[in-house]
Amino acid sequence: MQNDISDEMLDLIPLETRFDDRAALAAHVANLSNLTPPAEPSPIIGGRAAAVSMLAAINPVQYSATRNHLDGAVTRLSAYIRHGVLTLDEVRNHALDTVTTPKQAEKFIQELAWRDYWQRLYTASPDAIWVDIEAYKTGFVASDYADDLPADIARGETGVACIDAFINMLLETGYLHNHARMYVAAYVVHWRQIKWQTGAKWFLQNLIDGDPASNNLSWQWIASTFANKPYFFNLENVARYAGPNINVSVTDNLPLAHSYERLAELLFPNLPSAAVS
Amino acid sequence: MAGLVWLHEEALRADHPVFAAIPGTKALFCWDIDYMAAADIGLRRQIFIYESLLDLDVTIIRGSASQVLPLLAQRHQATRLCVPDTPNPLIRQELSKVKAALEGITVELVSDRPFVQLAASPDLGRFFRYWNKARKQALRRGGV
Repeated sequence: MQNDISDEMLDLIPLETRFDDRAALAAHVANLSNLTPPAEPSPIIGGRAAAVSMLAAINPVQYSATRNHLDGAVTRLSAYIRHGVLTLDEVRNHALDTVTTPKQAEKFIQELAWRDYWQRLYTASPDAIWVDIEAYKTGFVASDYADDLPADIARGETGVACIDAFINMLLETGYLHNHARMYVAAYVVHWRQIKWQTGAKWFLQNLIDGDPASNNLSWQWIASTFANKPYFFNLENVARYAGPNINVSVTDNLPLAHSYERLAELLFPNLPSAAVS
Repeated sequence: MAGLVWLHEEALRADHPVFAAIPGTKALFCWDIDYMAAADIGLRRQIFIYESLLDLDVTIIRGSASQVLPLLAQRHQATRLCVPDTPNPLIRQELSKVKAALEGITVELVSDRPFVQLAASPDLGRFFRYWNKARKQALRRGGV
């Protein structure tokens, strides 16, 4: 017996696998879902060859020193790891090959371990991925948070310049630096009081590396339903990490332009400030 | 023994152990737009997945796994179906439907290579409880 699936065996016709260019591929996929193709091809190229090329370029030492900066030496491997094009094991092994002692790659490997950790939680409770693991520690209860994503957030037109810049990066490229994800998520949950589930679903729909475990549990960490306190930030922090291309002027980012103490009073008025500092 | 590999969106590489489980068997990917909508997989990610599939020896068929696989298994007289393991409840639900329609066929979930091999299940209450148990293996090649 031929151990193969040949076209003749199917009434179901195999879909096209040869395309003149990436634009033709994008148009084909968009057509399958009755959607309009993106105006620009994604900067993240699918497939093993692209993944291996990206892996060869990683620098775990520089990553450790600069990873929190939006223009830092991040690897952009997340989409490949998310979809199994690369394994955490081979990325770790390659990272170890680039350093003289494992300690030099520890911060990088620890970030890989976060994904392993999220996956272990997901495996332990697959159906709990959309449920609050713990209560909010913001002085509010879950029912105080809105279910729907406001249109200004969905379109990147909040009027907060840096947040709008990050949202537009997400919408235009399908990728966002982790620190920018944290800023946007905290803005959605704590400044706008939207349920983390709403924001997490919106991220999943737009991120090429969108992973239910890493994404949702990170949103829960921001929200405080899987952390001891909520994550929030101020404009000074964005200015430190955002790089020269993001507008961090006070006048264009007024809701963020406060001290941490003042923000704690504004965002979490039911809590003593020491609870979130 | 005739077999099928159902490749899904979480295992898009040629050296996934699922291929070694039935050597020489061509894989099938079910392009299921209802699943993609339910799993919040937007267009850019759909394009990434499709582009990744082009690197693989895989047949892409439009439809759900529960529609496509029973038909193929019957025509192929398959006795085994191998699937990359996943915690994804949506894929597992679909697999349950496939199993129900494939009486007499062995369905095997095939795990990927682990990041770390731990003797006991670690406390997952917070990341650093896990990291304190996993760190030593995580910093070694192969995670052992």
